[in-house]
Amino acid sequence: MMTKAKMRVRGKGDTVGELKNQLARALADYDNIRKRTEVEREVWEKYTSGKLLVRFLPVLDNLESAQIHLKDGGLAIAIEEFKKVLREEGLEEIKPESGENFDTKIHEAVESISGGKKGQVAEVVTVGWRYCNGPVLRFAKIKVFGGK
Amino acid sequence: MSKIIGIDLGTTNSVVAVMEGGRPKVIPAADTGRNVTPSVVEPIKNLVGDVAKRQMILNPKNTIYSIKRLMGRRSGDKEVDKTKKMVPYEVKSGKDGAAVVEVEGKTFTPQEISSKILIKLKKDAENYLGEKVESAVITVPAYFDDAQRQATKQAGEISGLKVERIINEPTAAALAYGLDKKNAHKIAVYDLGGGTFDISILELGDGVFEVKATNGDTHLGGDDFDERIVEYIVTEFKKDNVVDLRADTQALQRVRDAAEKAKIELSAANEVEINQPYITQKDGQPLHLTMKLTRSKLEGLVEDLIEKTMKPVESCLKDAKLDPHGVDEIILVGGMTRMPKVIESVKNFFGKEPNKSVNPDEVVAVGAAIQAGVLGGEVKDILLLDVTPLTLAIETLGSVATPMIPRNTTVPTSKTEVFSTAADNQTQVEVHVTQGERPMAADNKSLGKFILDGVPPSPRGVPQIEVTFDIDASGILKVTAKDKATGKTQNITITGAVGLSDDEVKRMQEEAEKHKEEDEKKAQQIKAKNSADAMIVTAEKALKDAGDKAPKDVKEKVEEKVKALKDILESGSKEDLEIKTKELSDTLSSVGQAMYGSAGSPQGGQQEQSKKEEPKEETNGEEKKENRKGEKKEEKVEEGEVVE
Repeated sequence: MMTKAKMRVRGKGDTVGELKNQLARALADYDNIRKRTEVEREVWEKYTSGKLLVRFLPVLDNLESAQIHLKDGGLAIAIEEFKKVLREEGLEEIKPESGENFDTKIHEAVESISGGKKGQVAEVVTVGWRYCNGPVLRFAKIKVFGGK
Repeated sequence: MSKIIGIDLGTTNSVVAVMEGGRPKVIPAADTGRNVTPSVVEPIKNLVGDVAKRQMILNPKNTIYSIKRLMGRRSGDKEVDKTKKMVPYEVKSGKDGAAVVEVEGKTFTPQEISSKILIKLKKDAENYLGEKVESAVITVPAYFDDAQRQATKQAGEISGLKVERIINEPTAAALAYGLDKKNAHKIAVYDLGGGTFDISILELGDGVFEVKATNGDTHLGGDDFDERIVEYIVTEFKKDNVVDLRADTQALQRVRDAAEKAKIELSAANEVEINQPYITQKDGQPLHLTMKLTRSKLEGLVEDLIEKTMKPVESCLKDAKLDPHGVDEIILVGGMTRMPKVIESVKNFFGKEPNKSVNPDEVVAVGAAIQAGVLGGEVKDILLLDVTPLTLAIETLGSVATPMIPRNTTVPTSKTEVFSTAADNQTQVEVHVTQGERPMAADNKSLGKFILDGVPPSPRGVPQIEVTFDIDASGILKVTAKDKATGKTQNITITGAVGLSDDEVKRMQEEAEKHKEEDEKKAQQIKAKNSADAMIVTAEKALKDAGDKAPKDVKEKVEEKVKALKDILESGSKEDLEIKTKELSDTLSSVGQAMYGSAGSPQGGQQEQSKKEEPKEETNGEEKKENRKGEKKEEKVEEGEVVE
């Protein structure tokens, strides 16, 4: 039979083991969070402008819609300047030609059009924008041929 | 042992979370960075989530969504029939009459489709954690029967996850709010998601939640709210322009996006403008959509939808044999519960403010992660770290409370800063420790003070007194001051710096908020006075250094300005002090100019430079032999610098 004192010691041993385990977990978590924060900060720094820029994209769309009707030389320059800023921020347009293959990685299908070759781009409804070799800021909205 | 993740496998969206450092963390999807993943699967090309959703319109027959509606159900079941009518993909009867989907001639069980979602969430978690994930806690609606729970468990197993436990969504939500530890016995969980509404009543006994009753509407959610807004916009536009936007798919898509955006914005704003120029054309002329939508208009549009949720709530309470006031806590789940009108309706019904602080889209996954943490032996009260409820500060020149450890800092922690003296030949400093959010030391709670003496006599700002605040894990604060020149130290130990009662903390925070404006004024007044004082000291020193090299008339002018400033030092308004300080500063520059003009000795030039920088110190020349740190030895730094 175990004496009370022995039981107490054994109980303490369990507690110490448990606490050591907790400490190891806490330290490991901390270390992992630290490492990830470093990686994440690099990403944040690189793509931090995206949150703001993506809000400007609909404004650019509107200017371009206006230009289709107005065909104004000055507005054309303004639109080009707008795009230049986006390119300087490391963005590029996603503007597939008709006949290119639909690509779920950078396109979003908004309508299926009968005719053409199934799975090919029929028309770009809204151009997309992405970071060069980086994440997509806005997917290009595409009408896709559904075949006959 | 690898971590156990918590998964909210939803009808519309799914979320994965994990315990990290004792706190739940929602894991963003690797492909989008968003915290939610659409529960959409294209099984042939194996596309899951947003990527599957983006091609949905092209492959309506191959793209499976709302699969949860079929989980563990048999064909012929009412819900299966309803779903069949709603979705474009094929729902068939499989083995033993179970509802299955058929894509390109292949049949998939709901378990298989769901497992694809789980695989993606598992991968995202592994990607995030940098380690393999082998087990999970998955949530299901409280009304799921055995077959449905079994099917969910199978889905987990197919995805390679050991399902440690299946828990009810409302239970997970209650865990996320820590209600298992509170004295809340009867809990109502109101869950209004994208496409379904659930209400559950839980009862807590012996740390275990029991579902007393559930009710709901499997076809009522945020999508219905959006549709109402679209309908309104389209109708209004037709009235004004005699053009039906529904006939133009592209325009309708834009209206849908705008409607959802307006709905979200109206949870914070009272009015939004919906502007979609060039939305469509009429007789070759472009038409623009511009309209205002107010919150009250929106509320009018969806009033009956919100009302519709109340009937199931009433029935549920009836089943649980409770009246609305018998409920101790109410929890809101689902994105739609961000709408103020929904919150208000729930509040009016129960006569109580609902819990809504945890993101309603993530609360279920968070609760699942907490349960997973408990199962994995991670969540233990012993590891719960305390925080400092109020800012711990030290009194500096002008009775300003200079923060050392800001509130909400997790303990144990420590912080060291170097301070200096405010007067020449000051041989002792008083360290006064205060607690609270007010900028003036006197308005905060005094925790204790001590004196460090034996500081060698030197000009003000020269001695370096290192002050360290150290709080250990049990909340005991030790403040140490050390003279760096002599190595002499003095300290004080204060207990109870962390453990304040909630009421006390709340009172002090409220007070700080109440006095914010006057406190700021007071602080600025002291700042102006300290700058004036520093300028006086600088000017007097400059005159002394310049000796007879400075022309007499210039010296007199400076002396006159010094006197003018001294006269108002104690009584002057902030504005007067600033004006007179500026005047003195300008006049003082002429001393240097005059000296350059006459002699132009290199030494003189240096003096001038140091003069110009000194006014940045915040000092005042009160003759008190008190502590006072604040100024830096040379140039620029206004307060003590951190020594690491």
